[in-house]
Amino acid sequence: MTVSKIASFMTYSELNKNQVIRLQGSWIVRNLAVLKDSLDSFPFHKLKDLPGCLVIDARKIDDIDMGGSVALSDLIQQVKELGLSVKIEMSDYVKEHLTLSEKFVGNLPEKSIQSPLYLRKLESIGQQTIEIKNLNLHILSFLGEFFTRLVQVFIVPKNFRFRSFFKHLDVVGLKAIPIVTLISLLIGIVLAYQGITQLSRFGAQIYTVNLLGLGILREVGVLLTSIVIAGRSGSAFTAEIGMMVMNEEVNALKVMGLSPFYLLILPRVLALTVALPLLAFWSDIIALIGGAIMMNWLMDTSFVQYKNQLLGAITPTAFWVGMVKAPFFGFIISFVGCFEGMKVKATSESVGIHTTKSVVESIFLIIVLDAFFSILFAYLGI
Amino acid sequence: MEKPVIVIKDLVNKFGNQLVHDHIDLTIESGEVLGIVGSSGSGKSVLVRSILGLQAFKSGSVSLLGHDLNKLDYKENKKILQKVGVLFQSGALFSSLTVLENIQVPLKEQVEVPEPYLTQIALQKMIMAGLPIDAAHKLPSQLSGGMIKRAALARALALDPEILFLDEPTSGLDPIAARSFDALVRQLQRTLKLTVVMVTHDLESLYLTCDRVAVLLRKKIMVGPLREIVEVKDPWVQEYFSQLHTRLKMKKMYKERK
Ligand SMILES: Nc1ncnc2c1ncn2[C@@H]1O[C@H](COP(=O)(O)OP(=O)(O)OP(=O)(O)O)[C@@H](O)[C@H]1O
Ligand SMILES: [Mg+2]
Repeated sequence: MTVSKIASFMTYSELNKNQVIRLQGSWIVRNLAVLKDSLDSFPFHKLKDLPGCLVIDARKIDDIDMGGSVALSDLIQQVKELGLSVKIEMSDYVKEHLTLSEKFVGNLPEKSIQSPLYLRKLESIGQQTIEIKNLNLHILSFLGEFFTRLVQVFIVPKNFRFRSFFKHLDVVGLKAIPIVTLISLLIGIVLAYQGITQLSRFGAQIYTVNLLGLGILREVGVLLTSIVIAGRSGSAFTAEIGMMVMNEEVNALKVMGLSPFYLLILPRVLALTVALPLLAFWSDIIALIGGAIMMNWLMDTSFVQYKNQLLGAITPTAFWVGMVKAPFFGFIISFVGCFEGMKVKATSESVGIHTTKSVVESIFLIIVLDAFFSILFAYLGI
Repeated sequence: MEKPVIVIKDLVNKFGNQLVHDHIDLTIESGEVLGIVGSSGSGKSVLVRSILGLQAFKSGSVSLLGHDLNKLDYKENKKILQKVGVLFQSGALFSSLTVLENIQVPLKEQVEVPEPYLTQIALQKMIMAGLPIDAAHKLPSQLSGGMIKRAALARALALDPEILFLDEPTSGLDPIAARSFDALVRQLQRTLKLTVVMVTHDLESLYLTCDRVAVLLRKKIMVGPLREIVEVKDPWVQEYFSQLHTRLKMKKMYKERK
């Protein structure tokens, strides 16, 4: 008689021409990883060589559950496939579990046959093209409905949700002041430092003020604010509206005959369109103060001197050139935020995807629009 | 006699000024099916969440399989929770995963079941819960309300738990499906010696599956075998259990309907 230990779960032995596979241990779902290893390393091919009866003796199994029974079925199946006559001995306890487990078996439906690579590539190009077309139509219809509702609100002002508008104005405007202040102050300091170090080589350090004044008022203030707000409020709009779509809250509004445009989108978009110019104005002032602090500290320029130099350098036009862009940027951030939010599908993953998209797209569009404004102003000679 | 699997002593739950549970005690024995009933908002779900350590309670103690979940470290906690399956009232399926993947989560993450058993077991539980195979690759958002319940049940059963918590398992199922669900619970309880804690509003389900019933009433709890509970002289309890209509009674009611 030879006995070879395969693993603690299965022992193989030969007894009077009969082959016996003795099973023991806990055949439970938690041990499936080890059970599978013992099954994989079991020399099924050796069984074939010997004549006689094959016995699977499962009476020594201490514990079994439905998950573990799957491994047992697997073993029995593999042995049966060898074409040997098999005798299985087991306790009622094991048998009950095995029967229950085998009562519920099924196979996954076969995945449909894949077409060749070039066809799939071609198909994907076509699909993407159609998607781009649909996206454009979608944006256009969203924009159309937005402006229709906007006009309707002007005709019937009681349709406008003032409460919601002011609530959002508070959240995206007032509550954003600390972060905008901090970042603007720091950028003012950084720009002033760069200006001073470069211009002092020509003894023209006082012109740092001109650089700051024009740079901040025309570009930096508004661009900086927009980017901060896109990250702060644009993403929040997408996540809020996206969750409402997921929970079917938007559908609930629709079946009440209420338009999500009135309740969700108009207040948000208008609030941010109003808030962004105000924040940009604030950012301009704070960044200029940051510059003044740096000038005062490094160059001993007094604040009066700074003010006089600044007023000589800038014109109202410089201020308005920056400021006129702000409502457009605010509109873009909130519109993209709401649009992406409405596109969320019923999975948590898609909330993440669309929130990311919302921030990236709005910053991208802001910069494109900024470049467009620059070209326009150059053309107009401002 | 085996040790009880759940022991609740002197539990108090309070939200702000609202008292939900007022010093309640409950012991759940191994291998029994306990039904929890009570009016809406009486704190059934809160009780289940307290047992599972999902909710900090005001005072008292809860032990699950001999341990207080709030006092265990991560590893021990995980070990205990491997023996527990939960069907949440709203399903709580992972929305970005398909049904099959949802059922595979506990198998993969809690005990590292290898393929092909991973798929086989997930399918086994799906079929057991009464889902058609072609639902395997659907997302939860593409399922009907009843299918969500079944998928959640399949996920709760994935690890062959010792204790199964079911929060309104038959709500949203048609009567035939609800009865086959009851039969399944009984079968599992008999074969696998499961302990089942079932919150339900379904009286038939209560009659067909439960060994004992716990009634949450006026912030307190009453526990006993069903035949004792139905005899309790309390207007709410009397009215509650009189809602079970036999088929004959229903036919009569239908005829008399105006
Ligand atoms: N997180 C919470 N904060 C405040 N109150 C809560 C909280 N969770 C539950 N409650 C309150 O506790 C009470 C019990 O709620 P619970 O969800 O347990 O009811 P239930 O018995 O399960 O009802 P149903 O049958 O409708 O599901 C309710 O009044 C509810 O408002
Ligand atoms: Mg509940």
